[in-house]
Amino acid sequence: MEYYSPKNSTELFKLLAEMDQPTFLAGGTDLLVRYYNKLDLLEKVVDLSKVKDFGGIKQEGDQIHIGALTTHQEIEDSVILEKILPALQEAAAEIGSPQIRHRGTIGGNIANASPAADLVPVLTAVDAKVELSGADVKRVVGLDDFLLGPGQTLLKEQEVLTDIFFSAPQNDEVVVFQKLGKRRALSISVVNLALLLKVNQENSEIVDIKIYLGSVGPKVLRARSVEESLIGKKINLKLILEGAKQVENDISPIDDIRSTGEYRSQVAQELFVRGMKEALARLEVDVDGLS
Amino acid sequence: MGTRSVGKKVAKVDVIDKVLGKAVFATDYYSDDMLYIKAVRASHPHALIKEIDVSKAKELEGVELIVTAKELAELNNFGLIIKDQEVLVREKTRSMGDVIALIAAKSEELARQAERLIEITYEELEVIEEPLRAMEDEAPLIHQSGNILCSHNLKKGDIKQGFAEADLIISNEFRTQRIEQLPLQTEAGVAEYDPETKVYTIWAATQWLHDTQIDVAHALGVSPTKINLVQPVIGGAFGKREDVSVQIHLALMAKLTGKKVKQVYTRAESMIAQSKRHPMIIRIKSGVTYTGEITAWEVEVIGDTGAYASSGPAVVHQALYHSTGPYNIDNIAGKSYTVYTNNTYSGAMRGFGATQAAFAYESQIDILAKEIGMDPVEFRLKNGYQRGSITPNGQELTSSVGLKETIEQAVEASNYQQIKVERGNKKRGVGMASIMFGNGYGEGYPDHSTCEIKVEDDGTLTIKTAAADVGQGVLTLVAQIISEVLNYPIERMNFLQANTATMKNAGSTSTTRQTLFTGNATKNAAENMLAQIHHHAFLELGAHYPSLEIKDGKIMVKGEGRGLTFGEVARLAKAKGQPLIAEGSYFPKTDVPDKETGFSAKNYLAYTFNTQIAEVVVDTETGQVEVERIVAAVDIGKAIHPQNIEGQSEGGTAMGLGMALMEDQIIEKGITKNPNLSNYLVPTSLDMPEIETIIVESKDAAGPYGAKGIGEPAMIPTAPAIINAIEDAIGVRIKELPATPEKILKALKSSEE
Amino acid sequence: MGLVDIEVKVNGEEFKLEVAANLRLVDLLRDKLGLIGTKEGCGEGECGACTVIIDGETANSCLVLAAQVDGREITTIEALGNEDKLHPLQQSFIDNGAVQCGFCTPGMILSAKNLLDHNPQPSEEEIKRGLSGNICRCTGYTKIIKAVQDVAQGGDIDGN
Repeated sequence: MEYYSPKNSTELFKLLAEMDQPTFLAGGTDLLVRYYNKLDLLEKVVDLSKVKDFGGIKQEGDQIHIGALTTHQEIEDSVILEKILPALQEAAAEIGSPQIRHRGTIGGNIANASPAADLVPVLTAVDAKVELSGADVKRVVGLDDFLLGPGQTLLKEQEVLTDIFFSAPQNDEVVVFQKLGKRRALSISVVNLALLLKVNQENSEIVDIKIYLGSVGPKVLRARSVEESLIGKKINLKLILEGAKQVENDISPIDDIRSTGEYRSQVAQELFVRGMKEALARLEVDVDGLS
Repeated sequence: MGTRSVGKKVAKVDVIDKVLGKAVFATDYYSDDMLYIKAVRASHPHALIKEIDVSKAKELEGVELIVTAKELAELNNFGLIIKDQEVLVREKTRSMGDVIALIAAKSEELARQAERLIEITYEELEVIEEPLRAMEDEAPLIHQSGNILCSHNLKKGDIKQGFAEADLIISNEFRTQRIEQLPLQTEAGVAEYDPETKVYTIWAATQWLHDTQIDVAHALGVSPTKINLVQPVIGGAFGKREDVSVQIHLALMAKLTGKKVKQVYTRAESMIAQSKRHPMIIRIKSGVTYTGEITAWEVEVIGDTGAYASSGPAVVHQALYHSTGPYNIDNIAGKSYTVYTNNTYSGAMRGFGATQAAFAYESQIDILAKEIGMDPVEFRLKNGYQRGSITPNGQELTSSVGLKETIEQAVEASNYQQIKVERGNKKRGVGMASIMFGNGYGEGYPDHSTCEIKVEDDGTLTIKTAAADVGQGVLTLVAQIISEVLNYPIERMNFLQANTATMKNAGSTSTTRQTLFTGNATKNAAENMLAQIHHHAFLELGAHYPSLEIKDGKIMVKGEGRGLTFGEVARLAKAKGQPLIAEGSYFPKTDVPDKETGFSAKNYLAYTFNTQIAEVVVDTETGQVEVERIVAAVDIGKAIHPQNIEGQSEGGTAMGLGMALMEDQIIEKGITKNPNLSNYLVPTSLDMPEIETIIVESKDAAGPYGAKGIGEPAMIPTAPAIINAIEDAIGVRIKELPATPEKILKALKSSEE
Repeated sequence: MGLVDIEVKVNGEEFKLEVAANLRLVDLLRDKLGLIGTKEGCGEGECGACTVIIDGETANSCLVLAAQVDGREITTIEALGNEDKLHPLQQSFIDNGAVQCGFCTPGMILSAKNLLDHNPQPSEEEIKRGLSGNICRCTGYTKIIKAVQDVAQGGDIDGN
């Protein structure tokens, strides 16, 4: 195994230009688990953690940029995100453990492309984009498009995910996050969910809704049929419960070591209902049948 | 301030090194020029070995030796009860943990690389996954002796009559899962061989030094005097360190390579290759009257002992002997089967089989109470043991039966009656479980412990006890007893590192026996020492015995201000050729149970009783259970170290919670699907409830100062208490552990339909 | 196997080392520097026995390459206290009966220290959360949490 530790992006891309199939390392909380007792089988490891250009959370107008090397702890502590997107902080706060959060990065969480990745649903709910950088060119792709399946993304061989950005939700929009795990810490999601909701305060009609679920398919899935059943309608409990039933149409959960497809399906519906209740409470929208 | 410390909180004797990070566990031994051992394990759980090709691995630079069974025909089998485990597998694999080859290399990494280069070809056989399949007539044999390793019987009274007297007869089947003990330190050790003395020295943790010594000696075909086992600090055990793990392999490779050798299991290896808790099927058929008398109890226990016997014959029948719980029942019939399968072998885990049995009987008790419309507390008090009760083995309980006190105190401390009214069927439930646990091997199994105390010239005490301290605090207990008898400060006591070369047998740290056995042996030794000190002081000071007292580290003549320090007495005694060394032992007798009925007038020396009450909240939309509070009332006779008793109770509760809700080693077709900690889940700090432990002291038990043990009983009531609480909350009864959210949700949905 | 030169400060002492590229931090500390207080319980970041503090934050040293700590400062359990003067957390663990087998103890104490360094007055829930990456199989956590609470309430989190 050869180890490389570029100090900035120029060094990094110069390095990558001469290399094929490098393995990228950032926080190490996925890579070193996967290669436990097998690190010697890796040929070239490029440590991104020292590349200074890739960190930091910045606000430019209404665009929020999160550098790929931002750790989950930094997300949890961010004053900017506390104001703009606290749901992302809730998601980060439930990842692993304090030790994991101090090292794990948002770039790793996304590029690792686990269907259970906890940061992904919130980011897709705000229509986040990822910046992929190569030696000479940067390109921008929607996060939802970027993720293809378990461990599969659009990243080309000499490309690195460098930035995640999104437009700050408006004042009348709210984003919420829900996670269900098998215990209260160090728990990979059995199902997770994020939704963005915008409601017309005068007539309680749903103006906009985006729902994304993780761990219920090969990648994060958008619950379009649920959205369609709700958009433009006046919100009430019955509508939410009927919408929940539609969740089944949009997801394809499997049986695996952690849970069953049947259970995931049932819980996905419940997380949707809870997400809606939380969103409405945050928007301070009074709804029929909702206590 | 006195130094007598029985009943008090004292700092544990071995704890400073632990908080400083200086404690040396088996994984922490390092030396230069050491070789690293890696076991090459089966890649098929039941297969004939056709060919083993180690040639490529041998060529790897830094690999010093690779051996297989072929080169070592002289090795004998090992095993705790039945010697059915091969050191290196000769003809066929029986489980994924089986060792086919051993590699010695200059580094762990090289050993791992060598392992990847070894090629083995197999002829696959049917993999027997379930004991019920193993018990079928035409099932392939895992061992030539047959798939049913053994069976046991229990018979008391007249079972037919008992059922005839019943108003209601209720049958249920309960199942428990395969659990991993998961001590935080995996198996590890270091060994070296002295070609001149032909002695093997092995540093590796074991719950019973002298038993492992014999097992290793027998496997290698040498006298036990040639095996010196040295005990490092032990990183938890819970039953997993009873069986041989690294010891024989290390000894072998130390001799063959002529070097010091080290082996450390990975967590996956530890989970796949070392013992588990027996998964059990327990069927109970009970007869009960409308007024709440239990008239009959019939039990069948089937235990999956996996590929090897280990403690299986004992574990499974202990489940049978404990299968009625602490309740007066005149008519009992039972049978147990210990069955081989191709799963990782099952052995000892906290509670042995009594833990699984308690889940079954305490669930059944709650079911019966509900059927006849009686309050669960009332039902238990009505049928519960008291002095004079007779156990299923026919033993009359003549002392220390604090069961009802544990029930009453747990009920009071938890405010049970009020909570039951407030909660119950509103997704918040409360449940209880009362259990009993026989201390020690019992059953006439010859067992003893010894302890030696020496007073040094400087007045410090050197204590030799081979009792394994696995974290529970037995060394502290020993120190407390000595301080109590001799009125001498614990700070002046030193414990030598336990080993077989210079120490006598203290028996196993298991079966909840150390408080009784090593405690009594220690008290015996301390009293012997006290007598010696009195004797020399009597002669030297010319004072009559009744006027001698020990105060402030000296033996003094009362009222005269003259006396001798312990150091002075030691020097005096040594000069006379009678060095101040005292040895104590404890050799109690129990009776061997009758083969047909299990009758044994004295089956166990003492029984510990524990009642726990659990408060839970069930999320009926997700099936998740939150345990909010557990109140535990433990009858341990006399609490020698109350804080350590609490520590055991809290730790046991955590383990019981894991058993109830989340722990499950999933083996399919002989292959473990979750050999890692991300998918084998134990409770984290955030999963824990508030725990209150009440110590009930019935004071006249067989242990020192009337004490009984807590180690295993601490965890036994937790799972049934939680399951009973879930039933109280949502009217759904889970009969197969663990009660995962998936199972609870499924049960809720079917109960709605 | 590639070799990497690193300069790292461990418990206040500077080291200049050449390490194999695939050497993990936990192995650097234990095998090369003889600091056996840091333990390995699982190798996959699930138990916290290997917890150390890197530049003021806890991390699972089994998931960090030694090469990655070039230029960093590491604190292991060996930096806290000695037989004559224990760190307040160490003393509190002893007083509260929070140590049984002791294997989780070094990692647990470092997580507790890191928690109190950032949050000197944590609630019980915050303590539980701060320790949630450290598995203990012996104690059930109750006395560990109390030990941390006592230090927080005592106000002397550094033992000064």
